[in-house]
Amino acid sequence: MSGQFEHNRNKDEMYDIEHLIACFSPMIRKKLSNTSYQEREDLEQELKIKMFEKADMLLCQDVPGFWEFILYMVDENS
Amino acid sequence: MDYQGLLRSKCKEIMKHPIVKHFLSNPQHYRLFKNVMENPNEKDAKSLDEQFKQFYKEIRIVKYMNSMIRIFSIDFDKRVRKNQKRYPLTVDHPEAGERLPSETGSDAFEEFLDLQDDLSQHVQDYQLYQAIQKLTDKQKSVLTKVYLHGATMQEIADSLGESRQNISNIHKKGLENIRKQLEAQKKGEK
Repeated sequence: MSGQFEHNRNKDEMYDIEHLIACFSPMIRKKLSNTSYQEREDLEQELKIKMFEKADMLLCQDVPGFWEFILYMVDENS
Repeated sequence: MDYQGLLRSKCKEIMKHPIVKHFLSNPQHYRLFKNVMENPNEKDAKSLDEQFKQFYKEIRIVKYMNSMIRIFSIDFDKRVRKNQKRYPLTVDHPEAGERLPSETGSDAFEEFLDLQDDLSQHVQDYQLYQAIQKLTDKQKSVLTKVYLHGATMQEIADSLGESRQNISNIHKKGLENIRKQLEAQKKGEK
């Protein structure tokens, strides 16, 4: 049972990462003009690899909730 | 839960914060927030918490990706340039030794062209030839250096003793000029 769940979660993660890369593709394409024509495909690929590497960290990071955030903000202001 | 009390006392301050402002600009979030403020209950508060978490995470991801893509693309270009400089693919520049026989034995016309230092002599299209003839001397020389010699803007700027921006400008103006003339010729034909 738990194995099934694990598998599902993995699949979800893969989907998330693909979705993430798809979301940022336009931004990547725009930044391809930073390099010469010959290197653009390489850059695109390397950026996607980099995103894939960082996706785990980004998708599983711990972020503050609403109340936590407000408390933090109030602390900072006072 | 003393959050609500805290929230009320600092409400103005909190609402001014850009992230909270952005979060509440979504009507769904705003409705939830209002609900919690008016009749506080554990469930709604938790749901708001969840929503904000997701929202904040997205913002963080976008921010991170944005700077990562920008910085990485610049870095990548620098790295490629450095490698190209360090490991050139060809080393047989003319000054690096005798030219290959196949290069010296080219046909007479090519040889003649090589000696020509005027861009218009390399053009086969008559209209383009005329357009180039009408450019200023400076534009002609810059275009020649760019397209005939394959020089970079910086090299041209150094050789003419001008700024790189200026050369780039002259180059752009020259191309614009040619384009305009070609268009005018086209219209004249019709």
